[in-house]
Amino acid sequence: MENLIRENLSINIKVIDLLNDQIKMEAKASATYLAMASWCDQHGYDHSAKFFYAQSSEEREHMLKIFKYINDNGGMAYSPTVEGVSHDYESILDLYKTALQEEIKVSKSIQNIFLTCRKEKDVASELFLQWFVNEQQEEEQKMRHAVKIYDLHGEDVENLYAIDKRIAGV
Amino acid sequence: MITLTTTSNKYLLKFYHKQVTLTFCNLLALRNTINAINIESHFYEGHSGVELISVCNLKEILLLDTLDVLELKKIMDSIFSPKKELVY
Ligand SMILES: [Fe+2]
Ligand SMILES: [Fe+2]
Repeated sequence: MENLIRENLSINIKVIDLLNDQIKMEAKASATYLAMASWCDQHGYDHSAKFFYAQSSEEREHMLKIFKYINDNGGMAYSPTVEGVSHDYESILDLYKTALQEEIKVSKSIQNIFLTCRKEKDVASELFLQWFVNEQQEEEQKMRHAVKIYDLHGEDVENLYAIDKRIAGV
Repeated sequence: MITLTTTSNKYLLKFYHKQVTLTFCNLLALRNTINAINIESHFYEGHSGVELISVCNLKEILLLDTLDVLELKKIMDSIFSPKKELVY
């Protein structure tokens, strides 16, 4: 039985379960960033809106990357349902802070899967996840940078929109 | 009696009088269905204690009671966890 399962499956089953959870997380992130793009559009933060549209499709790409990885290695990827996406933010700073918190959550989740790979000796998946570890660092940095500039310079309304232009360079 | 064995490249699920041949994909789907069942909900008032599941892409229907669910969870768990290497 064990040999037959190994013939059908190149990666560890626990890792597959966690990766399926990660698919849900990436889908949620994609949907959340779309909601954030909408909020930015509504409130005249054009550059931030553009930024979040791009982030949203990046998250979808992350999801598909994991999706394919599971299926290519004999597992079964599940198409996620997304619930509970918020469209309400107090301010642009609040929005970026929320985005940063979401990225931190995702980073922790990726690290957890990475460590599970190690524990289960699933070397292939560990290598696969390396890309995600680096990607998460970049994404956290982006959000942290945006939070920082809004936090430092976002006191008056004039400034808020001026800062928005700087987001294009994040 | 529930058992799961292999025949060449297929898996054979014997569920009381019923026999179902599963491909590996079918097996993964069954594992997912079984793991998704929240067994605790069976002990709340109003729960029938019965689960109706489909296997092999809707080709077969199985009616499970609480003990069957537990048994299948155990089977899924054991076939997917590699045997511990013995240390002497
Ligand atoms: Fe992501
Ligand atoms: Fe992200």
